[in-house]
Amino acid sequence: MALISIRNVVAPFQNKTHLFTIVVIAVIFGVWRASGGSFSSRTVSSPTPISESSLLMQQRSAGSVGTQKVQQRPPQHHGAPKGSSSNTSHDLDSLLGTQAPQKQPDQNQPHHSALDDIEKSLGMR
Amino acid sequence: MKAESDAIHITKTWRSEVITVVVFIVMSILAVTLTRIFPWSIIDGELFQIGETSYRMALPLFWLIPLITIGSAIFRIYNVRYTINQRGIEFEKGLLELRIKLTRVWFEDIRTVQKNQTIIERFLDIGSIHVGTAATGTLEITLKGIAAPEEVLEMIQRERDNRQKTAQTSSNSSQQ
Repeated sequence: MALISIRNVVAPFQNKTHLFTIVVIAVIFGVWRASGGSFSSRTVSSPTPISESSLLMQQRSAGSVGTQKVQQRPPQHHGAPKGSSSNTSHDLDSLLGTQAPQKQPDQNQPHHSALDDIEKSLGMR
Repeated sequence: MKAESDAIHITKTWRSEVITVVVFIVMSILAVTLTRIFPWSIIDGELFQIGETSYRMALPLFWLIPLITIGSAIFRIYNVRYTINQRGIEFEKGLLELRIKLTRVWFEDIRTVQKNQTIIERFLDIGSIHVGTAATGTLEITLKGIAAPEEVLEMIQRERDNRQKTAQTSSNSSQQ
């Protein structure tokens, strides 16, 4: 008799003890699933290889943005005197609970978004 | 019972673990309920990663209670094997362990055969058979939780009587 034969496949189902064991294992699997158990696989996307030239370009653009940001940064008031007028009035208002409603940004003013340059270059504006 | 080339393999029945099975059913219901009440009891994490595929598993902790309950019953059932062949009775213990203990008793050496049954076991037609030999004062083999113990007991006694009669006639003929 061959190792893989119908007789060997059917054999566990003919014995009551083995049959009950199979049923019990199926039940325990059902309990595992009902309890929230799961087994899942996910494909983890690896980072795409970047060429040296594009990497250099990215670094350059990042560097230029950085310098622009540094240049555009508003001057900080180091060593400002304590209790300046604006701060004092703000603190007073908050303490008294009579703070004036904050100014809403003006809707009529043209807003400058990052897409302005692109829109201008495309002739949309 | 399973006859295989003039040997009968007797396995422990599931009926002998009826209390464990009942506990398992209760624990299963309890595990599902408790997991719904306490969702934090589910451990979720990555098992392993093959190539770019990550395999994850969510394991409910309360599920381990019915698993251990029924696992112990499965272990007790499949860890022992009783064999009755033409020469005698064999008792193997530790089939799922690292160490196997084999006890063999010939029919000629059997002195006492006892049957033990509780009231529940009588209803379920299961029981234990204790086999003792003349060599040792204690019982050599205990066939626990087997089905139809009465039949097994009669079969062992019949075989023992036949062997002892044969041995007596052979000794008488040799004396003459």
